[in-house]
Amino acid sequence: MLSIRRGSENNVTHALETESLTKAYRRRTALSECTIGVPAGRVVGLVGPNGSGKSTLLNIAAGVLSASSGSVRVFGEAPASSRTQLERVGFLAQDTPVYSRFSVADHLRFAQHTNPRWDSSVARSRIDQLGLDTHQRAGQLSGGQRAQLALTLAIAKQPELLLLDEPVASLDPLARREFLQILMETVVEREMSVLLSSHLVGDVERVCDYLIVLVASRVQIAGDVEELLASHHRLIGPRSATIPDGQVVVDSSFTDRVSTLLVRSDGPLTDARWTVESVGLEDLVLAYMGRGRRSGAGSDPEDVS
Amino acid sequence: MIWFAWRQFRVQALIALVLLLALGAAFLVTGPHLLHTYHSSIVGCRARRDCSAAKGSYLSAYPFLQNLLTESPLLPILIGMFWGAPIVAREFDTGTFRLAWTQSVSRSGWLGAKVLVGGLATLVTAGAFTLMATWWSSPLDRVRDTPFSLFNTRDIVPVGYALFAFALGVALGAVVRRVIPAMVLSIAGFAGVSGIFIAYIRPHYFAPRMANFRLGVSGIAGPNQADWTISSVVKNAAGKVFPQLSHGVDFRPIGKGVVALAGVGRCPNTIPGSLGGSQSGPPKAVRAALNKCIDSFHLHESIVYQPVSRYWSFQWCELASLVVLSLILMGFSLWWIQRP
Repeated sequence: MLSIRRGSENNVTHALETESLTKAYRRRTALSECTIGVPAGRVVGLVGPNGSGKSTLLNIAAGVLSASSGSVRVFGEAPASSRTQLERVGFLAQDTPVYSRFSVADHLRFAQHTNPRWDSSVARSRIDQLGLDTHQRAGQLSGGQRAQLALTLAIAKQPELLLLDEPVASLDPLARREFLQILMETVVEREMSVLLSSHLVGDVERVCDYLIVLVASRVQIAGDVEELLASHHRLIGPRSATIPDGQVVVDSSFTDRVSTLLVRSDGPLTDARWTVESVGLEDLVLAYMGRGRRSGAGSDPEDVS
Repeated sequence: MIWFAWRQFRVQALIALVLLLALGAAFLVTGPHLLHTYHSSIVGCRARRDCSAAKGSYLSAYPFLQNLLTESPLLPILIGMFWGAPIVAREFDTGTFRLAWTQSVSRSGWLGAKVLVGGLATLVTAGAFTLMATWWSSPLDRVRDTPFSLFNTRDIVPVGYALFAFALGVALGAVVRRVIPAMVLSIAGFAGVSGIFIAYIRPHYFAPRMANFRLGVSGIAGPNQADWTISSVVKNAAGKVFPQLSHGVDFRPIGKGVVALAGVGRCPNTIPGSLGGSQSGPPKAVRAALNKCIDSFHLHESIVYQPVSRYWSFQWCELASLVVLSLILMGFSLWWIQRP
C-alpha cells in the first residue's frame, strides 16, 4: 500500500508549497513553521479546528497577507508577485467580501476590466442560472447569493488555482449544498486546482478528493481521500490483545474489556483477535485532530479575522 | 481601473458638487450686496479719512460665510477626512481589499487609479472653491491691512493645501488601515504640517528685507501695513535689544520730574502727574523735550519683513511646495501598498 504521509509526496507537482511558513503578530502567532504541499490538479480540502492557521495560510497564498518568515510558492513563484501570477490564482476570502454599494453588474464589469482571462459567457450564464438581478446592489444580497457572486467572479477569472477560505461557513444548509455543487461542476469542467478550507468534514467530503488535516500549523495527515479511507481501519479487540504489527495507532479508547483502535495499516492484519471495521472520513479526521491537539504544538494560533 | 475608481468615488463627488453649488448660490446672493456696501460705506469714509468704524462694521458682515473662508482650513480637512483617508482604509474595514488585490491588477495600479480620480476631483473642487471664495471676499479683503493675513484661504494656495490633505489622508489610511483613526490622524497631521509651513517654511521662500525706523515719542513708525512683518525689535545704537519696547514706548513716572523709559533710561518730566493717563498727550513743548531725550538714546526699531509685492511669488512657492509634498506622499502610498 502506498504510504502517503507527509514528506513522501515525491513526484507530485505542487500548486502550492510552503516551508516553515510563519505569521507572527505582536501578541500572537497565527501560523507557525507550517510546511505543506498542495498537489496540482486536485480538489484539496484543508481541514482543521478554528485557529489552526488555515485562513492565514490561504491569505498568504493569495498574496493579500505577507508572511513573517519561511517561504511560500504558488506554481513555483511568490504569491501575487506579478500580474501573470495574479491571473493564475483565484481567491474567495472568508465571509466573501464584495463592494456593498456596487451592483452585481458593476462587480462583473470590475472583474472583466481587471482580468485578461475573464470569460464573460461563463459569468453571464452563472448569474442567470443563479437568478440574480444584475441591477441589485451586492449589499442587499443574501449571504448565499453573495458567496455565489464571489464564486462567479473567481471562476470566470479562469484561474489555475482556486483558493476558498471557509466559503460555506456562513451559509444555511441548502445554500451550502448549492454552492458546493456548483463548485464541483465547475472544477470538473475546468480542471483547476482547488484548495478549500473548512472546519467541517462534511463539506469537504462532498467535493474534495484530497485531504490535508492541519492542527496548530502542523500537517497531521495529507492524502488522497480514497487511499486514506482504504488505509485506515477501526480495530476492536480484547483489552489483553497486543497491537498488531504493521498497524500505527492514531487514536484509541478503552473499556474494561474492549480496546477500540483507529489505525493506519501499513501491512495486512493477521491477528484474528481483532475485528476490523471501516472508518468514515469524519472519524478519521477527528482522530487526527485529536492527536494533533494532544501532541500540542505549543502555540495558540487563531485564524485571521 | 479608472472606471472602477470613478464608480467608487462618484457618490462622494456628487456630495461635493451639491455642497459647492449650495455655497456658490450663497455667494451669488450675498456677493453683490457686499460689493455695493463697499462702494457706499468704505469709499466714502476713505474720502473723509476716518475709516476705523466703517471698516469694523463692514468686516463683520456675513459672519458665517466669512468664518467659512477665513478661520478654518475647512475644505482641505474635509477632503483629507472623507476623500483621502477612506481610499485604502475603507477597503480594509470592509475586507474588500481581499477581493481587489486578487484580481489581475497590481496594487499600485489599483491605488494609482483611485488616487488619480480622487486627486483630480480634489484639484477641481478646491479650484472652484477658492475661485468663488476669492471673488466673494475680494471687497472685504481690500479693507484688510495685509493680504498675508489670509494667505492660506485665498487665491491658489488652497488648491495646494487640499491636494496635500488628500495625499496625507491616503497615506495615513494605507498605513493605519482603519477609517476612523486615519480620519483623526489626517486632521492632526494636516494641522501640524500647515502650522510648520506658516511658522518655519513660508518666511524663507525669499530672503526677507530689513528696515530700520527711528523711534519717536509718538510710538513706533512702522513700515507699510500691507507688508508681512516677520519680526520687529527695538535696539539702541550699540545694538542692544530692548524687548520691553517692542510693543510701543511707555514712560513711567518714577519720581518728581523724572520718567523712565522701561529698561533704557530716564528723561526729565516737565509736567506734573502721569504721562500715561493723559488723553490728549503731552503738550507740544513737552513732546519736543521728550523726543530730544529719546533721540539721545539712539533707539530704532529693526524690522524683518516681506514686502507685499512678493505676495504672488509666495503663493506660487507655497503651491509648488505643497504639490511636491503631495506627490511624495502619493508615491509613498503606492510603494507602501505594494510591499510584499
